[in-house]
Amino acid sequence: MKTILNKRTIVIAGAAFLIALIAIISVNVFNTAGPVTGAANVLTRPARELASRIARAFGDVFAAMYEYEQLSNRNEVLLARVAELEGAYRDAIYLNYENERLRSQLGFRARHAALESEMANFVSWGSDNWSHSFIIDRGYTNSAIAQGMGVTTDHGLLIGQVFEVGPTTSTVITIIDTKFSVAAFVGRGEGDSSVTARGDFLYMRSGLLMLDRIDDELTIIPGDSVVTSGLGGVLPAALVIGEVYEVFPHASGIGRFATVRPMLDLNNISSVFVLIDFENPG
Amino acid sequence: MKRWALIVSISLHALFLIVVYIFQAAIFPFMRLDGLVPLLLPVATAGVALYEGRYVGGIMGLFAGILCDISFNAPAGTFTVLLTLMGLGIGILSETVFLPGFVTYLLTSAGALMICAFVQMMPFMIMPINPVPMIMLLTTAGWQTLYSMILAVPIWFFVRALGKRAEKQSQTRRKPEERRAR
Repeated sequence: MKTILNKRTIVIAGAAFLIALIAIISVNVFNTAGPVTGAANVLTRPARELASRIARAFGDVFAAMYEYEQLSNRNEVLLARVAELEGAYRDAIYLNYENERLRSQLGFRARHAALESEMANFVSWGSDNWSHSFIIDRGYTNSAIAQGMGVTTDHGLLIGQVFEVGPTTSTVITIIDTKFSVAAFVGRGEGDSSVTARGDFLYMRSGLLMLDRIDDELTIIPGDSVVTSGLGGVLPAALVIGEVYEVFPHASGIGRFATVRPMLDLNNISSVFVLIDFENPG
Repeated sequence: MKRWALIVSISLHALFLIVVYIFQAAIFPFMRLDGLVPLLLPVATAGVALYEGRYVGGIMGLFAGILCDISFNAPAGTFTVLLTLMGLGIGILSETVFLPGFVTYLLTSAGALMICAFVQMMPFMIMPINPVPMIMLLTTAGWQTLYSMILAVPIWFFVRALGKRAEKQSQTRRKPEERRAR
């Protein structure tokens, strides 16, 4: 036992516990990543950025090769479907209506004049399989970013929320992460359409999130859009989360839940906007 | 091991861990298999500890743990403590019980990955609201371990090469001392 627990072994283990303790205190008291984690983040950032760019460039080349073949196959299928679609005039009218509605939602910026946002660049993905997060190049020393702030595209499509703030980088959890939860509106404004949109472990890997507590009287069908309600004041209202993908009855037999497909491809994020300040319209 | 040899060994292994970290944090997240990313740093830590013993294993575990904590969205400090203890533990076992080799490396890597997966599962197991089915957690943990184990094979060549280098270095340093003693 004495040979196992010698001075050096105890010093190494002690250092690990000390660093962990500092990180825990820092995260819980100051809401920041802690000095050791912060310093490691700063030091490794250039290497991560470079590697991410290289990986993305390779990914684009492979995607282009794959997509060319896919597009060629799809073209054949689409040519056959053109004939069918010509007869589906009624559907086209509905799509036109849907398009108009989405366009009005994308006019988000015009409706939120008091919105103050800060642009940030994507650095790298979080690399664990138990959350869905990424790192941006803004922290508490080079921006006004704070924990809980919303992260969107410039059109008001919600990407996620700031989870942890470091000196020059911050971690953002996406809308499909299990820690994400926000009050939302769904459907076409009939009855009480307020629901809770949250990430769920079951659907995270499929790139979907979940709508919980759907009112029995609410008519909800796949394709309905889901937007933030602004309730609670954490995020501004009318940020587009996604559209309803499937609706299911609860396993308990009481109520329903639905899966939501995000409006944007969460795997193709390059620059984002962090919502520093906002005012929800009356 | 002499102090300078220890410093050189630690520096080389640290460089190796940084390369592994870059693959884990910046390259593999773009090449997900069924939405999964492999865990490489615990495998590298297990390998280094197996071939280098408790001190280099412990220090490299500490370093790898810090890198894991910044690339995972996990509770603060978890991997710093876990990988340090893992490095020390595997190092002690390799000095006393284990015979370093490919099979032992695969077994210790699998063990390290399973412990990591269990620790990553913990917050979901104790979550009071929206509990996740255990089968779902075990499936994710299993695939994560399997995917990482495939990549443990190429990592082994580097770990063994670094281990052999350190062994050779300590032997050449020992020779003049032995001669003098004679």
